[in-house]
Amino acid sequence: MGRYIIRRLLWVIVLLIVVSAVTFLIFYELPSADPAVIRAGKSPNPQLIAQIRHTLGLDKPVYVQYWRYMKQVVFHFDFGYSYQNSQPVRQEIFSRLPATISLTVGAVIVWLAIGLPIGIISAIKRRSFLDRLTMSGALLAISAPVYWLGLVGLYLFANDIGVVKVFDGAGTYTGLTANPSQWFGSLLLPWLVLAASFAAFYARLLRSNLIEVMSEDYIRTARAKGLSERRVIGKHAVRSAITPIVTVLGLDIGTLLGGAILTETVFNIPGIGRLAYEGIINADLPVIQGTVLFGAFFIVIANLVVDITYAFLDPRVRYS
Amino acid sequence: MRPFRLTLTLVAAIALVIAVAACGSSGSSSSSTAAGSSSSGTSSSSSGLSLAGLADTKQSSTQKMGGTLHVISNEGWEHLDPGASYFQIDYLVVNAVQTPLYMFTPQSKIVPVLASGPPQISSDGKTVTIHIKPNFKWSPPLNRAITSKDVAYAFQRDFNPNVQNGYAAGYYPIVGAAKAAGKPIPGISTPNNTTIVFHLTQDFGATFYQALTLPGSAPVPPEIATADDKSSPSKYDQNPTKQAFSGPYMIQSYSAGRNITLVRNPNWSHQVDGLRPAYADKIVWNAGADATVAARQTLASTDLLMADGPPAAVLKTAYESKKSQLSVSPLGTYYASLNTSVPPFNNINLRKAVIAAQNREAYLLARGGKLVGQVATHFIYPEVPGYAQAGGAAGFGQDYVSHPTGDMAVATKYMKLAGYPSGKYTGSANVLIVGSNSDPGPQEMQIVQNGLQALGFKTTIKAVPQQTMYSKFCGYVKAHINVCPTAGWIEDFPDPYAALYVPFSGKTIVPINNVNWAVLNDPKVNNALDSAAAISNPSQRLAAFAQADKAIVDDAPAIPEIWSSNALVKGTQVHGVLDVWNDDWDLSFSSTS
Repeated sequence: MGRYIIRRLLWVIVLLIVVSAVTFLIFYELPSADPAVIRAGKSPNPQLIAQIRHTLGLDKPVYVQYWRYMKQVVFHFDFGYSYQNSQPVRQEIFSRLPATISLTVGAVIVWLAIGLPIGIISAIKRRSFLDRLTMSGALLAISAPVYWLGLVGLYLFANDIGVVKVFDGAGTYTGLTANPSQWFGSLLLPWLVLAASFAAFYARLLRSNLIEVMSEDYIRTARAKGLSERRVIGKHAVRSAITPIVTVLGLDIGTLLGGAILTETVFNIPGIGRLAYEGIINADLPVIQGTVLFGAFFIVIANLVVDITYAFLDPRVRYS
Repeated sequence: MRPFRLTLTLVAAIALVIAVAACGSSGSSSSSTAAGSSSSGTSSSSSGLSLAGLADTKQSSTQKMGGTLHVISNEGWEHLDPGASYFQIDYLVVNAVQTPLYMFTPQSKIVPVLASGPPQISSDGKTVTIHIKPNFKWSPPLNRAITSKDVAYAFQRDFNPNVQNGYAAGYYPIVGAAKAAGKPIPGISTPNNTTIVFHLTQDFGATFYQALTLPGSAPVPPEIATADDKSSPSKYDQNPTKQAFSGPYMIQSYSAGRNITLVRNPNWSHQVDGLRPAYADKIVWNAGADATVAARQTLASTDLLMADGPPAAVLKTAYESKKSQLSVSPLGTYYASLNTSVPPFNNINLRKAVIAAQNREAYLLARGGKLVGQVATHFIYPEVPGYAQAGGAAGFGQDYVSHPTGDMAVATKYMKLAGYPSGKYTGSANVLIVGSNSDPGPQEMQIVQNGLQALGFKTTIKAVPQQTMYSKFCGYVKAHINVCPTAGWIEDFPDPYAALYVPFSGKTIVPINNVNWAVLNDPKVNNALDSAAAISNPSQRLAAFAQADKAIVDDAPAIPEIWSSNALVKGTQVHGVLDVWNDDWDLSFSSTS
């Protein structure tokens, strides 16, 4: 297992290098804004642009520029400065990471707490009214874009612009350490909105997996042995049916840690997704590079965790 | 000298659904008054919509001191370093925490603030002497008096590549500045602590005076900034709370793109300043909000000012049911540049034919309907002094701009003059049209294409992101783009120089990041602009710029599309005072009630 983890960690490094190189090439080789012009601010004179081009090393070949960038990242953990507002990108990412983690972790808890029980109940009570009702609701939740759902949530339930004033509105996010109760209140509606489609998807996925597993021979055997239905479902069926869920969960967590752009935008949560969005619309290469690398990092780490978790969930899986 | 940026402010302007057409009805008689800034606005447009009942955005004697002013915005700040600041939103903060030599009042009157009076400009316009008030002090912990050396250092920074000022090279032609690169500038001297003398390379004193209202003239203490300015980019911009402040407020906390808090500067006094009342005790600004949500929050609030424009749907709601919380003011101009340096539009009569064939009302519709502003006829737009002298809405009466929906008879006349007797283009040129791929860019490219194809031109459209359009195509002279139909312009300060010079003087053409998109280099236009820029007398200056504007229209370097407007919303109780020249709230003049 140890060797496997080391091998995977090495792959993480390779993947991050590939991701960073691809991002770098896309920005420099495809039509985009000129980084020196953007860095120079509005209406700069040609001399200033030339000076900045030289300072940033943009007058060097692309591979030299990439090497310089990676050297700074690897040896100094320095992602450069935003072209847009001169802020250090590392500082920007780390200052926004707590908000993104808060949003992701809370939403994961909510969607698992809602999605898994619904999936199990729907599978057990297949074709019942409850099954049809929950699956119809799930279809609706999957179909609703999170941006739209967020706006509707705010217009209906926010305590400033909502019809029924229940939740804190957009722009109220406070850090956990600054004010825990306000932190919780400000994230409640974003958690629900972000979790809605995920919960629905997980419920549907678990339901279909569970229905399939319940027809397996070993389930029949378990029942024949006289095990209670609760034990059959809980210990044997769900454990097997949940394996694909773990895979998807890992990817989803990794993706969200890279930034839940739409949710963060609608609710004005200062997270990495919002930072990435601003970087993209402003053609701010250092910010785009930094957020993409962080997103990629989270996704590959989440994948690694998923693979390791497999070994514990499924006795058939053993890594060497 | 700011090309339009793809901002939500701009999107709001694009999508404006309020009776900006009313600006047209009043525009012919007013040069720089913001139509929407008057609470008593009774003008109405031909569409029947009225500006009456809009928010009172002028300073009032009923405004009260104290309280916390709350601001919200979609966009965050770019640079709060006075040397680097060059963005509408940034100006709101910088003008509250710093003190340039001169400032414009909300109604666009230039007044001395750090300076003790108007500048002494030599008869040749090349030497400008300014005395500064002796009793302006830096905020804590510096606490010392502000001196002319601090102003000189500010200009030194403006030319430091690490600070990256966007306008100094254009507005501050100081002897030796271009090569100073952050070192002391030979053309600036400080005979004593309250006097600064600028030696200019040309007869530019009258315009230089106007440009001293920009944040780049605000003093910066060398003992704080020098070390920061050695880094690239300068670290003075990175943590604005550590700056020294000369304005009524200090930056207490700052988080880039998220929030900023301003508190009173204890060393500032209204008596010394003479301009800014600084009503609020504290200003709290949260940025990064979704534009639709922020606009709704603002309209539902008592105390919020929204610093950027609301989206069209919310704007419509505001106009229909919350008019007293809405402000509308002229913003800038859009035009489609025709590249005068390469075929086929190096032929002036072809350019006139293209303009004549264009349905310019279609641009208005593409930008949100017939109420987004008005069809433009020339290049000094309603917000800019000189608009009335340039003929107001009617313009100068050239036949190729006199028909908003286009006139093929006039177009045919100019095609024949251009050497195409059939009235159709029979040359081999394929006209390359490059524009923004965001709405309404594609529609605008289609409109210009329709007009060109009606005259027999073959065309190719290339839609790219707005930033790319400016930096790799329309602003890159060697790209030889024939038509750039989605470009726009707003002035840096309320003077026709700032509206005309950079986009149309041949002297501003540069290979990269060029904003004279038409690559117009007509000695007649250049001379007219240079002569006007040297005139100090206000009425003569405006008249001269109006003539320069006429010379530009005579050259037909662009299709005048529309003069657009800007809308802002506010809470029910807060008194937002609008800086007409910046098209946004003035935090030092706005109050909680």
